[in-house]
Amino acid sequence: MKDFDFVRPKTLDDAVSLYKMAGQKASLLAGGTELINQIRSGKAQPDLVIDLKHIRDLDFLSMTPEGIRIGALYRTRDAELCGPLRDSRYNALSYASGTLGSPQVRNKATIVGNVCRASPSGDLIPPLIALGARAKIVGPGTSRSVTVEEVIVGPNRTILHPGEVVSELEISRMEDCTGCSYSKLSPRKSLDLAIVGVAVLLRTDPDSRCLDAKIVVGAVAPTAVRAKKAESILIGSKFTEATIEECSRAAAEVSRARDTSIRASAWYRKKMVEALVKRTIGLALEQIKEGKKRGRLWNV
Amino acid sequence: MERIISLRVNKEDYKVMVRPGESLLDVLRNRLGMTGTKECCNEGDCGACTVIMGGRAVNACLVLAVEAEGEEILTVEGLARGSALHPLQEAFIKCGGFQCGFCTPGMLMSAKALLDENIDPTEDEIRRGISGNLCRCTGYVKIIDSIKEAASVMRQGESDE
Amino acid sequence: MSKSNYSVIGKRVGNVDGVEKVTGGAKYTVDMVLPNMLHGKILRSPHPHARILNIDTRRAEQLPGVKIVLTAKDTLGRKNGIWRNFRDLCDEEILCREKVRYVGDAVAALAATDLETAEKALDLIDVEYELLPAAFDPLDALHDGMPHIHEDFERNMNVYRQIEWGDVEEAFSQCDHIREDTFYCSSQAHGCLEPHCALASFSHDGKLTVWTSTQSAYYTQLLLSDMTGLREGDIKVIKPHVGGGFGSKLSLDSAQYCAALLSMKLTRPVKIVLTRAEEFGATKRRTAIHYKVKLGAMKDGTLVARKVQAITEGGAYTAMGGTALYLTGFFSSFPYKFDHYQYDGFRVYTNNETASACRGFGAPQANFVSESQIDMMAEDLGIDPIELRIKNAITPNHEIPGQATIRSCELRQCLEAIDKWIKERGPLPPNHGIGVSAYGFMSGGIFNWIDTPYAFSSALVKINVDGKVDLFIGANEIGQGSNTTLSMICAEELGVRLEDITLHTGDTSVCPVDLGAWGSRQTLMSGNAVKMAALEAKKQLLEVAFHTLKPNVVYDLDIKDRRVHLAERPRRGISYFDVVKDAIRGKEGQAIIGRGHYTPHGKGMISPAYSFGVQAVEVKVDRQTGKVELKKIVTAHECGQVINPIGLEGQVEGASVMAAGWALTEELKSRNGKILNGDFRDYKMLLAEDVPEMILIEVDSYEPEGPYGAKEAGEGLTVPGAGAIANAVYNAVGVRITQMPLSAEKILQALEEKKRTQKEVDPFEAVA
Repeated sequence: MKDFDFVRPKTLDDAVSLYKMAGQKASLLAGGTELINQIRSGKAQPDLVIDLKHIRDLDFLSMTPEGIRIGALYRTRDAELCGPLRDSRYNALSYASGTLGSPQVRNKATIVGNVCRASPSGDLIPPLIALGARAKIVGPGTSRSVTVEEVIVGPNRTILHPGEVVSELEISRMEDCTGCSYSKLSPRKSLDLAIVGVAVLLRTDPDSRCLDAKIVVGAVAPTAVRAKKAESILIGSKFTEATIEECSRAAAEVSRARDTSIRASAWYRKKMVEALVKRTIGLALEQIKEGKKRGRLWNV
Repeated sequence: MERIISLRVNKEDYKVMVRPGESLLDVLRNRLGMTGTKECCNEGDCGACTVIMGGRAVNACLVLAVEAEGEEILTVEGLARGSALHPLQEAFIKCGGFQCGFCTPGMLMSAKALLDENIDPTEDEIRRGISGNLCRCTGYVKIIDSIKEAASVMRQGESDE
Repeated sequence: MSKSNYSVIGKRVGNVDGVEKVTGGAKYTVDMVLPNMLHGKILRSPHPHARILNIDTRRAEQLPGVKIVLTAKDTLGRKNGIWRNFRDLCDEEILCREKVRYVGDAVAALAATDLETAEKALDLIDVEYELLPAAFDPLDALHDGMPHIHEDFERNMNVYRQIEWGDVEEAFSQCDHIREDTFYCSSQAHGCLEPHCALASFSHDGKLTVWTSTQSAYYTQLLLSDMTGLREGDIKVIKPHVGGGFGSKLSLDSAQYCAALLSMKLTRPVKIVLTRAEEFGATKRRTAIHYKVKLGAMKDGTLVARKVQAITEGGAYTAMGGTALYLTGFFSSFPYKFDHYQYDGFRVYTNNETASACRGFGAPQANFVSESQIDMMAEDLGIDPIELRIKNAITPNHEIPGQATIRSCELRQCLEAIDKWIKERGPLPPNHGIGVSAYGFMSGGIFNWIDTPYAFSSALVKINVDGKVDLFIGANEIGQGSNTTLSMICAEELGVRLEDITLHTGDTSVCPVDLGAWGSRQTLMSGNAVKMAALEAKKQLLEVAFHTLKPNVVYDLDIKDRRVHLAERPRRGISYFDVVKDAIRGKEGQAIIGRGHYTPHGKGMISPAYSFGVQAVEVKVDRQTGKVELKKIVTAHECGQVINPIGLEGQVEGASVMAAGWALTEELKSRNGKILNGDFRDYKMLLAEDVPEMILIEVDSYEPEGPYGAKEAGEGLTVPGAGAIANAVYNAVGVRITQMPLSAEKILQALEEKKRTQKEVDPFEAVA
C-alpha cells in the first residue's frame, strides 16, 4: 500500500485550501468505507487523505418547514434511526439509508459520501434525485449549489473539482399530497448491493390525478437515471392499473445493464426495473395517503 | 511517513507507531497484540473485525488507525469486567451462541452496540443488529437466543439496581 | 437404557472452549506469531492451463527483505494426494513443475521480513508461460480432441465408480411408470471465516513444527512427511482453535506445504495466511455434478428401480473428489429401499479449481436430485409425497447389497412427525409452499485412504491423585463441538463431573492418532475410543473399590457423580477421590491410565451407522422478482442418543442454513476458469435477516454401534435442504427447477416460460 499523509482540518476553509493545494493527489475522507478499500486495493493512491470528521458543525440534519438540510458528516445510520425523519414525508431517506451495507458500515458511511462516491448502485442517490436535492459545494472562495442529479456524471465521477467539498445537501419543502419512496432489490436483506434500486416521487391533485412524477432508477446504468418517458406517462393521468403498467414498461427502457455483470443478466435487471417501479409507485401513493392522514405532523 | 498516535483501547492509552495506511484492525492485531478482533475479509463484508468506536459498532478494517486517534475504542478483550464475564459472554456460552468462534468477537461487539442502544430488542431488531456479521457455523439461531438471554439478564440487572 | 440415568450426557452444558472463545482469548493459527518470524506468499497462475517455460526469480530475490524464493526445482518433486496407495491419483505437486492446470495453481513461494515486501516481491517473479487450450465444462472435457489436463488420463477421465445391485433394466420393464430426468448441482465455497494458514518452524535439529488450521492434524503430519521426506516423528503438527473447516481443511494445502518448505530452507519460522481471494480461488470446493436419473415405480407407489449416471466436475486435481463421486452414488439410493439400483459415476478433470470434500460429501447433491424426482414421481402417480416416502423408507436392519447394513433407523417416525407438522400448519397464504426432503447420512466413513495401520480413533485417559482426569484425544475440534462431546462422554463413563476433565488435544506429539474431523465421524468413532479408555481406567478404580466396599459377589460397582457405589444400592458407596488415592498408591504411585481405540470392522463399505431425518421448508416466492423467501425450516431427525444437545442443535441449524445458501444464493461464478465473485460481497452466504425460524423435532433412536447409542449429526442436515427448497418452490408457484442454484432470475425465467406455454395451451383446452 502506498504511503500518504493524513490531515485533520478543523474548519471547512482549511479543508478546502488543503484540498486545493494537493489537487487530484488528495482524497477526502468522511465515512471512508469505500475509500479505505480503494486505497488497500490500490484503486486509489492518494498522497494526502483529508479527514473531514473534525470539522465542526457538519454533522447535522436540520428539518424546518422550508425543507431539510443534511450536513456532510451526517451518517446513514443516524438517518436510518432518526425518529423525526422516519416520521416525516422525507422518510424515503431513512429507508434508503437502512438498506445500505450493514449497521457497521452505516455507522461510518455518510449520505453526502454516498453521493460523492457516485456508485451506480448507491442507495441514497435515487431518492435524493427524486426529492430534488441540491448539493452545496464550497470551493476556494467559491460556493455553488447544484442538483445531485447534475453532480454525478459517471461511475465514481462527479463534477466536483479538487478543492471543492460538498458541505451539505438541501431539499426544499415537499408540497402537500406528495409522496416519495425507495425500493431496493438485492439477493440478501443486508450487506448487499442493489440489483435495481428505484425511487419514485409523486404529487397528486385532490382528485388523485398525477401532477408531478419523478422516477429514478439505480444500478442499471453508469449513473442513477431518470425515467423521463415513464414520468410523462403518469403526469396528468389517474393511477389506473393500465397507466402504471405502461409507465413501468417505459421505465424499464432506461436500463443499460449488460450481461457482463456477474450480479444479474441484462434481461433480469430490465424486468426488475419494471417490477420495482410498479411497486414503488404503489408505495409512493401510500405515502401520500399517510401524509393526508397525518396532516401537519408530516411536515417536519 | 510513520507517526506516533495515541489510541485509547479498552480504557487504556497506548502510544503506537503507525503508517497512515494501516487500519485500526492492523494496529490492534499486529502492533498491540490484541488478536481477539479477527481479520476475515478485510473489506467490510463480514463483520468479524467489529469493534465499538465512539459508542458505535464499526468494522475495524474500514477505519484508519490515524482516524481512530482520540476515540474511545472497545474490543472483545475489554468486554469482561475483570474476571466477571459480560452478560453477553455468559449468554453466548449458556445458549451455544458460537461454534468455531471466529465470528464471535465481532458478533459480541455488534450485540453489545445493539443492547447499548436498545435493552429490549425484538427478534427482528436482533437480526438486524447482527445483519453485518457473517457466521458460517451456527445458522444464527443460537446467537439470536444468546442475545435475547443477555438482554433479559441485563434488564433484570437494571431493575435490581 | 433410560436417559434419566445419565448424569452428564444429554445435559445442556456450555461448550468447554466457551470462555476462551467469548473473551477473544482463543488463539487461532492466524493469531500466532513467533520471534524472528518471516511472512510467506505464494505466486499463483493467472492462466487456466499453461506450460511453464521459465521462472526467473532473480528480481524478486534482489528486493531488500526477501529471504528466499522457491519453485518446483527446490522440492523433492513428489505429488500430493490422499490415496497414498494409488500413486496416479496423487496428482498435485502444489508447486507446479511443468504445467499449471487452473487459475490459482501455485508456481512459486517466497518469504520476506514483512508481508508488504512479500506481496511486492510476487510481482517481481517473471514466469514465462506457453498458453494451452483449456477445458472448463466436464461435458466438453470428456470428448476426444480436448486438451489433456493430466497426461495419463484419456479423455480427462479421472475416476470411475460403479455401484450396482439387482437388475435395473429387467426391473424397469416391469414398472408401471418410469421417469427420466436430468439435473445439475452447482458448486459451493466452504466459506470458512478463518482462512487456510500455517506457521512452520524448522529447527537446526531437523525437526519441523507446524501450527495450522486443519481438520486432521494427523493427515497433515503424514502428507507433509510424504512431501518433505521428513520422518513422521520429526514433524509435529499443532492445531490451535480452527475457524471452520467444512471439508476444506482436510488434505494438505498450499499454505501448509509452502510454509514448511520455506522454513526448512531458511531454518526460520515462516507464516502463510491465504487471502480471501485465494480462499475462493485457490483452495478446493464442493463438487458440481450433472445427473441423469431414471426411476421406476408401481402404481401403488412402490419404488422398484433407480439408475443414476453422474458426471462430476473434478477440476484440476483428484484431491478427495473420488470419495464425493462414490458417496453421491451411494446416497442417490437413499433413504429408500430399492431392489434394483445402478450407479455409474465419472469424475472428469477440468481446468477449474479442484472439487473435493465439502460438508455432506456428495450426499447433498444426490439428495437434491433424488428428492426432487421423488416429488415428481408422487405427482405422476397421484400419491401424497410423504405417503410415497413412508411406503419406501428404509427400516431398521435393512441391508444394501454389497454396501451397507443399516441398523438403527427411525425414518418413518421422522416422516410422520413432519406430516403432522404440515397438517397442523394448515392452509398456506398465496405463493407459499412447503417442500419436504428425506435423507440419511453416515456416522464416519470406513475409508482408510491414507493407509494407516493405526486405529481410526484412539484416546488415553489418565486419572491423577486429585481426581482430575487428563483426556488425550487426537480428534479435531473445528467448531463442531467435539471437545465438549468427548469430554462429556469421558465424564459420564468415569462417573465424574465435566469440570474434572482436562482436555489435551490438537498436538500430534502428545495426542494419540485420530483420523480427524470428516465424514461426521468423531461422535461415534472418537466417542467410542474415549468411552473405552474411560472404562479401562474406571475398571482399575473399581478393582480397588471392591477391596474397600466388599460387596456380595452378586453386586456390581459403578461410579456416578464422583461417588463409587453398588450399582443396585447407590446408598452404599465411598468417595471417588478416596478410591483414586488408594488406586494410585496400590499401583506403586503411578497414575491410572486407560487406553481406548475404535476401528470399524465388518460394517460394510461406507459407515458403521446412519442417521436419518426429514426436513420441511416453507418458502414464499415473489412472482414478480422470482425471489425465494425462507419462512420456516422444520427438521425431524434421529441421531441416536443425544450426547451434547446444544452442540447437536447448533450443528443441525448451521448445516440447514449452509444448505439453504447453497440452494439459493451461493453460486461460484467463473469465466475461463477464473472465479469472478471471490469475496463475501458477491459470494452471498446468508445473513441473520435471511434466515427463518427453525423448529427441531428430535425423534428417539438408539444405535448399538455408537457410544451410548449415539450417531452422527454434523453433516446430515446439509443434505435435505436444497431438495426441500426445490420442492417448496414447486408447491408455491408450480415451477420445477432442476438446475441449481434456485436463483431469483432462474425462477422468474421459469415463471415466464410457464405463463407462455399456458397461454399457448389454453385455446386448445377450451376447444376440447
